[in-house]
Amino acid sequence: MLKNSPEPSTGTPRRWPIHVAIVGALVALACSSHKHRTIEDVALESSGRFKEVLQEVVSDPARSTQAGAVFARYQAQQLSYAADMADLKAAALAKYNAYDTTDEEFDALAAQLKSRREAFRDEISDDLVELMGVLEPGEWTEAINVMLEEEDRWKELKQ
Amino acid sequence: MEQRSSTQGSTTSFHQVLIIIFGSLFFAGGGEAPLADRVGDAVTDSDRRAKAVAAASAIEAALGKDIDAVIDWHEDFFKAIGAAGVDEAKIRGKIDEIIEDLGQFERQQLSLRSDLRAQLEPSEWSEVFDGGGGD
Repeated sequence: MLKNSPEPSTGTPRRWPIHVAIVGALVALACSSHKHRTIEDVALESSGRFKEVLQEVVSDPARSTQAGAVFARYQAQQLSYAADMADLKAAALAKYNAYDTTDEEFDALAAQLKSRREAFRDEISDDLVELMGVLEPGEWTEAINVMLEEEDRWKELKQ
Repeated sequence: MEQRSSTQGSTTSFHQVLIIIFGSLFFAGGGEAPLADRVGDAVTDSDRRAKAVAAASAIEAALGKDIDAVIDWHEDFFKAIGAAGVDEAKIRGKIDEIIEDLGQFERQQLSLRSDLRAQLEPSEWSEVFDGGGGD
């Protein structure tokens, strides 16, 4: 089971209250529009949860710092990827809505999407492996299990 | 764009990565009203209307399947990376499976769009996708 409050850390910045506050604000924001929740809303509801979990399960300050550094790099890659995908999705929607869009245009867009996804795969595969190397097997399992418990939140979308 | 506002400038996590990479591009386009309703309003010819509404309904049904698939992929991915002995090759292979599935979903969406387009005149199409208020 997860601890309710993380162990005090002597060697790392105590930024987790800020992150928790940010996550709380995002959850509140998502919940305020519960009737219109989209899959992206649910992603926001869960946003930061993994970071929170990492801080809870990794008790060793040095490894906690190391995991935080990997995650920070990971976040930068995520933001870059998210921005690119938002642009591609906007382009896709415009083409979808346009009566005269040709098959060739859709094929070109599909190639762009695939290429960007594969580039992102390369980035996060490295980070995931590094993160697994930092965490003890039990800690990794615990973090993953918490993420699986979050599935219930996702399944609410279907209701 | 809604997608942009929900992905930029926010804290990100595994979940957000996964929804970004797993989230396909299914959408019905146009405004808030259900696509089938907008198509039904736009097409006056009764014969084409029934076929067009059926095609629009198929697009809307696919939207629900998209969510189911994302949830399944998400769960499957976490189980895979949480399994004993997982390595980079397995992670990459799992993501490759999802990328391929996404491509398949998107091809299916384009096929459904093509079915709808075949039933609509350009002006009707414009009414559905432009007259509905855009995104």
